[in-house]
Amino acid sequence: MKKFAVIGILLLSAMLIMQACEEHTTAPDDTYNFQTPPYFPQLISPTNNPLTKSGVNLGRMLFYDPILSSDSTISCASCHNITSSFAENKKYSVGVAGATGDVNAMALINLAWQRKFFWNGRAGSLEEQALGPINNPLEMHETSENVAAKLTHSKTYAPLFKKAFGSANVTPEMIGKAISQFERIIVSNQSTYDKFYEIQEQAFTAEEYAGFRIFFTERGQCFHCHGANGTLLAHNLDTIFRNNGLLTDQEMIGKGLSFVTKKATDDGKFKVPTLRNIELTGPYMHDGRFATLADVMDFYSSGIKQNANLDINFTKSPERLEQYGGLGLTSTEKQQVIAFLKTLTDTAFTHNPAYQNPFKK
Amino acid sequence: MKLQLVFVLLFLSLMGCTWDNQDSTGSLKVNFVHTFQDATLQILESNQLIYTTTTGNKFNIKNLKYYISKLTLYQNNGAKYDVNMVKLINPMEQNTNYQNYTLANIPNGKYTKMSFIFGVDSARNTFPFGLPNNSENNAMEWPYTLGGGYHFMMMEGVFQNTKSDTVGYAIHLGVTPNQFYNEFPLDLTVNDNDQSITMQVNMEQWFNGINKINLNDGYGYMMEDQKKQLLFKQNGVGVFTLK
Repeated sequence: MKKFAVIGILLLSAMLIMQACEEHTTAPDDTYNFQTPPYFPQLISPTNNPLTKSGVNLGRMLFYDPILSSDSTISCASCHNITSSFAENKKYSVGVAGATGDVNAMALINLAWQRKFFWNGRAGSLEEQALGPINNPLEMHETSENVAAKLTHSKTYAPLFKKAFGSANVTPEMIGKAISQFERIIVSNQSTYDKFYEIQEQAFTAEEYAGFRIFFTERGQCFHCHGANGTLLAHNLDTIFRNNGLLTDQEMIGKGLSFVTKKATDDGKFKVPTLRNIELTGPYMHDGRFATLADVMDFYSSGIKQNANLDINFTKSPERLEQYGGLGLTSTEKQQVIAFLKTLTDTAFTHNPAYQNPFKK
Repeated sequence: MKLQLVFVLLFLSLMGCTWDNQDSTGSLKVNFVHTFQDATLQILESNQLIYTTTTGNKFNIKNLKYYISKLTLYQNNGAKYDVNMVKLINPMEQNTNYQNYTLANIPNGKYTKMSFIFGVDSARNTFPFGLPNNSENNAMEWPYTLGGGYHFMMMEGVFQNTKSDTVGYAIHLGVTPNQFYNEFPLDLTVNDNDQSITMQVNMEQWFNGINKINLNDGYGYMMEDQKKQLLFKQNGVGVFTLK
């Protein structure tokens, strides 16, 4: 008798599970067919926000629509311009009513493989990140709830949310999901550097290869933060925060990762950005202090500020720090590294029609 | 409805298969317990110098990750159990799965020896992506320019140099010749059971083995210095002790 009861419960459970699955299954024709590029890790979308055509399409519209801001003047694209690889060529971006931000707009590239967002890592998911600028008084100066109400009452958007998420009663969560779906499909993988996996050094000119060697050996040390063999460089998978000597002990207090963790040992540690399309994303560093890549090279070569949290990759060579104030690169070496960095430029990315403004005809 | 019934019956019959196989194997969980001498290892975020080498360097450890591979059990009759594993050991992770490895489905029997390779075995220490292309492995890559493959170990921290400045060091081992083989006598009888053993990893031995390491001798840049890596390879043999 007990056996029958157990089998009955199992049967009932199985049926309920299958029914539940059926109810939440995306319509087959709405599944977004994301192709993981060669040599990239498999993309894993959050289980509660799988990529769909309707979600990506909606996210793209929201990304380019100033409806997200309090006075309908600022969209995500205002500060993340596709021609700049979704960065902005300004030190600080300008928000609603002329408010000026306090960090440089980060490039949006290959975000699907990243884990922490913003220079100080304050968002733990792309969905959370997507709502950040809406609620920032220096950026869109809105609230997610207000935007949700505006979108619910929009004849354009309400049906699109209904299609993408099953409800026209828009919530902040749905907005974050839609924008992050679009951001997740923004992929750069067609630079000169990408040929390296197939043909190795033949991908480069002599100058680029010389820079490549500086980058990926202990002469330049760049790979220790930006990634070896290009995987981190390409995808920035394992988000890391480093203190690269931009700030003094006094200047770095409460800045960077420590803003989130409240640990003094995290003062002055900022997210290591991807170097993809770095040629297009200047000015550089979290505060946009360097206008050009040459400025960046000069900094790493001779401008490092010593502080208590300075990364080991700099302090492990106290002789270089003392003698040069950095890596002590020659002017030729700096040029070579810059030549290599430019091999990361991907114009197919910046011209990809799937990433363009859908409102422009 | 018919499909659902088939699904349940299939599930039950699969469970039955699993039960049938369970009576001839056991498992062994190897816990990697990190120490400095015999005290629990402390990995710090700060620059506090809590350890001293025999050469007098005051230092600490701020970052530690390494691979082991080919963990293998041997019987006296020559039979061995090798699942061709590779595992990243990361004592900094809160998830203790990064500090142990479980050999599952070990055939019942008496095992008298265990071995593993420190580092990534040569078949997988390759460019590109000898190991699965994922975040934790990619963070351990060894640049193509320096031979490719993976860091076998990253151990980093700070020490007080001869000028009394607190500066960094970075013990990075890689490249296939710097793997080393470890073996340990074992007294293990597998008989349908799950067991565990402790592998003590005494970090002091990296600095105080047959080679006495003085961090003032330039251990910031050793990825291109095979002589320095060899010193650590030789010391590494004494780091692991089966308890």
